[in-house]
Amino acid sequence: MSRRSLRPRRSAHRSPSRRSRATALVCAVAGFVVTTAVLGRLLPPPDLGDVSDKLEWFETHRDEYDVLFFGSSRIHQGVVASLFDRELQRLGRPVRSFNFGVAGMGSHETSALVRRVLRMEPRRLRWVVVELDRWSAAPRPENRFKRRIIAWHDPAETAAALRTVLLTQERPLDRLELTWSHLLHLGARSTGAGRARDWLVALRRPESSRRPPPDYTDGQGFEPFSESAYGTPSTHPFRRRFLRMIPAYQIAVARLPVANRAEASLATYNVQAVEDQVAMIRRAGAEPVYLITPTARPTPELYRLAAAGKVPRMLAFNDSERYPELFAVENRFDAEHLTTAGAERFTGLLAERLACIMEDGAEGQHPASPLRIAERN
Amino acid sequence: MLFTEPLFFLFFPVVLAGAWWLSSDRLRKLWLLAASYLFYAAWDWRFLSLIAASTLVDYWVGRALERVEASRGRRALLVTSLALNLGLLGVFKYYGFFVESARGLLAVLGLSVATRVPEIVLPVGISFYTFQTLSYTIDLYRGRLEPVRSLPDFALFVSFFPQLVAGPIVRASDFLPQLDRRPRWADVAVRRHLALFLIGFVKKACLADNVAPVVDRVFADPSLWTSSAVWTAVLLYAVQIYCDFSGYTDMAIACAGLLGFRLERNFDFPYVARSVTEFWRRWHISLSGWLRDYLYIPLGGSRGVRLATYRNLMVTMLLGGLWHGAAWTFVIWGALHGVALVAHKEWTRRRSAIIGSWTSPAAVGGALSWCLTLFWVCLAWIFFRARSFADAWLLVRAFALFRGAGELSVDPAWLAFVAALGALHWVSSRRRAEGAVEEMPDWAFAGAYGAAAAVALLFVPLRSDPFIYFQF
Repeated sequence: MSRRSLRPRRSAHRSPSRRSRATALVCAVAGFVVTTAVLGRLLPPPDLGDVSDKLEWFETHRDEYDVLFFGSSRIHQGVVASLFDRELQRLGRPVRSFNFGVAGMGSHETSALVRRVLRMEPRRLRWVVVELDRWSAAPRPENRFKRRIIAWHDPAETAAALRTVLLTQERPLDRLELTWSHLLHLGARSTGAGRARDWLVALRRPESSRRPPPDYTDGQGFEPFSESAYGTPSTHPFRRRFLRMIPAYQIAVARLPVANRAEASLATYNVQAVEDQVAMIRRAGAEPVYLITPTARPTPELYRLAAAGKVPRMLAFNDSERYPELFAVENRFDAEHLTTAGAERFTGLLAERLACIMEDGAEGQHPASPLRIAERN
Repeated sequence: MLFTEPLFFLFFPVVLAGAWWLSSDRLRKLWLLAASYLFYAAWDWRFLSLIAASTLVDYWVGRALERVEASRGRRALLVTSLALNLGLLGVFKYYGFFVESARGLLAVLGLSVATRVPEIVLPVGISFYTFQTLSYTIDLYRGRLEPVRSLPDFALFVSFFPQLVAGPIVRASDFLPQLDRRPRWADVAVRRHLALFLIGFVKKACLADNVAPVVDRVFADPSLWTSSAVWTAVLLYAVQIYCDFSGYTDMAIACAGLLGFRLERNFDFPYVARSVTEFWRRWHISLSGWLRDYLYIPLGGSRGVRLATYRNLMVTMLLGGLWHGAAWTFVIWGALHGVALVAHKEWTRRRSAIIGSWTSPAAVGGALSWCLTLFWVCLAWIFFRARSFADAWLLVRAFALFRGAGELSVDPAWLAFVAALGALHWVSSRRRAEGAVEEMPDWAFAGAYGAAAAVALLFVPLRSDPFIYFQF
């Protein structure tokens, strides 16, 4: 653009009427929306790693499963779905299950994934087991604007995330920043921002170099956090840190039953999000079961949630009194995760508890659970 | 706050609406001043004090220069302004550099000094607004400008947000008269500025930010890459820095234009230049003009003997290099351009003596000059971008001598990308398309704009890099 062209010219003196300005604005918005919609249809789905792999698999096998597990790496690497099926078979309740756990998945992303899966209308689905955790409003800084984070920001889940932001006890400025961040993610998802890369990658990558489609026939979505993984660069630091912190871990485990009985308020918990999730699962014709995985982190607010009747069935495994074997150092990969042996033990216990629920629809709370103890007190 | 950041798309419409809605001209200018300070505070509010100090001192110097007639007194006032502005620049930008350099020199002489160099944060845009205020006091001192009466007007000149952090460097003589008359919305070339903003956005967000990771990988460890990979990375860096910086100034000019201000263009298709002299007429025009008027000409310019002219050119380019960054690699970058400018002057003078009456076809001569200029500019970019001399040397070996130190290669598709952009750059320099924008009906322009914005968003990487020139 030449220097002269930026100076006002006589032709620019025409002052457009208010109507023509409004028409131009409408045309600009329409041009943007229509183009976004058309491009959205043309673009391949974003590659979300394990999330995409599992969804792709499930899409073609959706009518084969009765039980689905959702949650973080604690589910992905903690629930051996094939073993779970065998255990239930032994208990006289033949089912087929699939592990939808994915590393790093928080409650909001889990909820969005559950929604996507239920939208596929799996015909045999009866039980949806969801890992219960805090609803964190803030993605980790390193995860901001990662494809997966953007992908879960559908309007429903963004609304839930904004509610979580409202409930947090952050400073007003931080809340504002979080709100802005969620809205940006929603905007990025809605407009397909940055998606050209997927397109270019798909166009340029020869058929032969494409990743083979995942096969979850054996693992059924489970991936072991095995001894062989100790040496890999990504897991090694966690494991090493855990080995250094074993005494502290053991103290935390010893305190866990008491800590879980501590007073807790639901004022900052996104109860509405849980209730919405329960309703969503039930609308799809399945029954929700909530699960607290065996970690050394006390979660008194989750027990309070169950006591308040906000979750219909809760299986709490972060109880070192009742499940000491799940907290034994030899069964732990680190403070959050189990080894393969630990995962198998956990899956066995989970199968027993879930079989009880399937049998009589019990609430799944063991008489000795911290919740019951808290209620008795 | 970056022009490409979503927050700016909330900030700017509010500022724009306020600026045109406020009926009082005084309020409009105060509104823009407040917006400019807010814009800067979004980066780091603490450094507002530096802009404020620079503004107050230069305003006071300006008013005092009006009253003082004795040349000694005037000189003292000028020195006060220079001392403050260059002092701030020296402390915040060059302190570490000078201490490290002195320590290095002493080490060469066998003396070791254990000095801890404090880490000083470089305030964004300090080099730009310092040069602006300096031009004001120098022009006043020379009697080429009337001092500003209104402090808010002067503060707005120093801090006007569209060009505050990365230029173009605005002269007081260009900007201040624009504050004396209230612009009319009807005079604003809305479409052209909207189009220019989108072009700048595409250059920065869709081009510069997408090539940045490839460039970063190669420059991070040049010992790993083949010669062709280094060539690709250097060419991509040439694309990146041009798109980054000219994209920023396109957006700055567009924002200022929508607010009713005219900023001079800062780039004019620099990569079609056929000599380094021409390159500097097309690249960062506001800086080359500033260096010419406030450094090269005061040094003597081309008025003296030939050697003095060459010395002046070299000094100007060396200091120009140092202006870009506090590192010796920037000085070498400036030196390479200085050498090329001197060589071009010498070539122009002795051309007929060297090649006699032989003339090549114009196209061949032009193509050769263009290739040589582009090669030299790219070679100099290596020093501009490299983290150290050791890295720069590895890159120069691979680039100029085709002796890459490593085995890794870069996808050759990037070269095709560079070639396509180069062709577009060349075509755009010859056929300018503003006419088409002006002649479209309103609804068609608006619809096309919305559609183009949607397409541009697809190419925006999810993590954007700050503008390269913010660090200068």
